[in-house]
Amino acid sequence: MKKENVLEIHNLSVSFHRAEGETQAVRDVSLSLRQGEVLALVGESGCGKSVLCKSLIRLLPKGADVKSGSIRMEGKELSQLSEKEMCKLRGEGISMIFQDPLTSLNPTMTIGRQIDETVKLHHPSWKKERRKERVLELLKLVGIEEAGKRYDSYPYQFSGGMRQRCVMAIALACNPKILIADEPTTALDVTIQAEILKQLKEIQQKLGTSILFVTHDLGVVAQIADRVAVMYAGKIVEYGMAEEIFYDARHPYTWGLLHALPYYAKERGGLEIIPGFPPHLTPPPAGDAFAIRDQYALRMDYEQMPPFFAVSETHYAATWLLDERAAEARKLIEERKSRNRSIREEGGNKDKYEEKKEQKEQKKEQEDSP
Amino acid sequence: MSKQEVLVDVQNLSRHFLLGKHQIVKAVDEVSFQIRKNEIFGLVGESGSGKSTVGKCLMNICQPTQGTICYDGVNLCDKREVKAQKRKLQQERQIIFQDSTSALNQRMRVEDIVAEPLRIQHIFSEKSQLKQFVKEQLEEVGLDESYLNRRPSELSGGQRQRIAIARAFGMKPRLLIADEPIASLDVSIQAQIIRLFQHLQQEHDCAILFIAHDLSMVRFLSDRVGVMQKGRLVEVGETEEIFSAPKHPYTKKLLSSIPIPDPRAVRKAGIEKEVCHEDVI
Ligand SMILES: Nc1ncnc2c1ncn2[C@@H]1O[C@H](COP(=O)(O)OP(=O)(O)OP(=O)(O)O)[C@@H](O)[C@H]1O
Ligand SMILES: Nc1ncnc2c1ncn2[C@@H]1O[C@H](COP(=O)(O)OP(=O)(O)OP(=O)(O)O)[C@@H](O)[C@H]1O
Ligand SMILES: [Mg+2]
Ligand SMILES: [Mg+2]
Repeated sequence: MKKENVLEIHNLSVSFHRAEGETQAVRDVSLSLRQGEVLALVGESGCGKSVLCKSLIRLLPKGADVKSGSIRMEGKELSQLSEKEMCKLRGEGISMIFQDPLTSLNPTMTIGRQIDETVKLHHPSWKKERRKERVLELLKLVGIEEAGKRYDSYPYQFSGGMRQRCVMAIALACNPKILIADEPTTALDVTIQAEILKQLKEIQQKLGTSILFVTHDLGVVAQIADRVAVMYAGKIVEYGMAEEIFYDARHPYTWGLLHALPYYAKERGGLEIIPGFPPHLTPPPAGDAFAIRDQYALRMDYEQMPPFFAVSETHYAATWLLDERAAEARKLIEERKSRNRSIREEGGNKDKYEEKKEQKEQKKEQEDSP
Repeated sequence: MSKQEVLVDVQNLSRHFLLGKHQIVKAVDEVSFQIRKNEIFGLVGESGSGKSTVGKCLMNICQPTQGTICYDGVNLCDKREVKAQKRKLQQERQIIFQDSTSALNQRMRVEDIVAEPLRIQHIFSEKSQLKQFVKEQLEEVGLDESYLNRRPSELSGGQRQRIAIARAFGMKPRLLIADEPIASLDVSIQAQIIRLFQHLQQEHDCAILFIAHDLSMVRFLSDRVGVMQKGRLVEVGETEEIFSAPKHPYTKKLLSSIPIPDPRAVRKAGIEKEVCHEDVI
């Protein structure tokens, strides 16, 4: 059974114009969010994830230019809505957790009141006591201990992770149909993060919320995502079911991401990184933007932008490696894949730590000896 | 074992906050530990357990309610001593704030943000030298000179974070408080930034208080680790000891919650099921 799309993005391009030139933050992105799914959006720092998210709720910063594309929510074209209708939509249908918790909280208002305002918007008929109950319930949901005591605290009286959770409480206050969460767990320790992910999953199952979850943590992706989209230099380069991305990735950039995990650092004696830094978006390189950092790049990659090739019905990747003419290069893929598999089967990366420990011990011995 | 020299000595540090009129929060509660010269000390723990507050106390941004902090012979709890040593302290201590985005001056250009502490300390006599140095610092964190003229609001979250890192690193501090410095960065850039931390430690003899919740990174980077829960330091020790034989129940719980980047394994383990930490790391 194919699920309905609640959010559809077609050929969206967003740029910023500055004296140095045009920064193409989002380039021709098409993506859809299905009813009740968690779609994870992953990609390097500066690749356009936040700009993409903000354009979905029409809260782009000044100077942003939506050059082309359409965004449809339940069949409605967002660009056609008036600001008033959009406001209503933001309160009811679609909610966003911004990447930077401090800037999305009002420093002069208590946390309790800030959540209360959203609850009030959603349930205008509720009495004060009823609303307060709901606020405390939300604070508990995101793991704020002694919520009653904290109701009247201001944002500066909370720790970084607590603030992030308060922002989440506000976003969840209106039982949104669509939740856009931009790095919502970056400030959380692993135990609370696991707890919050569990809660989100529960909400998603209970209310059928569709979640677009931006993160750079593949551990988190593995826990929560049904599908994954990989973004690079303003473009989506690969998307598919979570398992397809983790076990059968096709784009060299996705391979790089999986390999850079400290978790799989075995056999490398250190952290393996993707060479170089994310490219400039002012303007982005021609062809496949990843080519200059890609050891498997074909000549074609430098010249022409690869289209999406279907790997399966749900899995697509934009790399010339999947072209018929690249049979030779595909052999490399096979090699790489078998290497991936062996890393995963052996699991863990204890060796690296042991090595470091040995080094340390040697260092100590040297110091101890006169 | 030879005893390495101590750079920061924290004894019985407490910091309480008033919530409303009658309630107090013991943000930090009788915490004692030492940071040795040239060591990376990882501080991990629950959200809200007092890590940032400890960091701020070491920077004199937050006054302790109780206890003493001694930095390289200077008693940081004595206002007069701090004032007398102001220049040394400013030059030698740097902090990367957890909410670095809001800590950056929104009106300043990137170039001035990175140059500001250097300018205050008159590190460079010539403007062109300073500019060149700032460019190099930015390059180290993967941002080229086209970013010099931008303001923080024109950057992505991770780019802003890297500006904060470049600013702190430029001073080549002897003590760096890094509060969740890599939380907003992706794995690949994280790895490059981690190298910068190691470089700072090894080449410039910097001691680093590395506050983080990414336990794999803490294990990789730190020499020693402290674990905090509800304002208390529940465990301190050599990194390997803590990770291979955690003693406190909270440490055990923490280690067992590391997310596994493998959907099949996640499904097998079930999100709730406690996984033996040995298998996870
Ligand atoms: N207001 C702005 N003016 C000019 N350029 C901008 C502006 N906002 C963002 N950019 C640029 O657009 C690109 C995409 O930014 P975005 O915030 O979407 O990145 P991101 O993928 O969310 O990265 P991160 O993981 O670091 O948060 C970046 O290169 C950034 O420098
Ligand atoms: N100015 C303040 N007024 C009142 N309470 C405060 C203040 N600053 C911090 N607190 C409280 O002190 C406790 C510790 O906060 P701190 O920021 O040190 O935690 P943390 O360990 O850094 O957490 P996180 O990992 O979430 O950043 C929290 O309960 C917080 O609410
Ligand atoms: Mg972002
Ligand atoms: Mg903190």
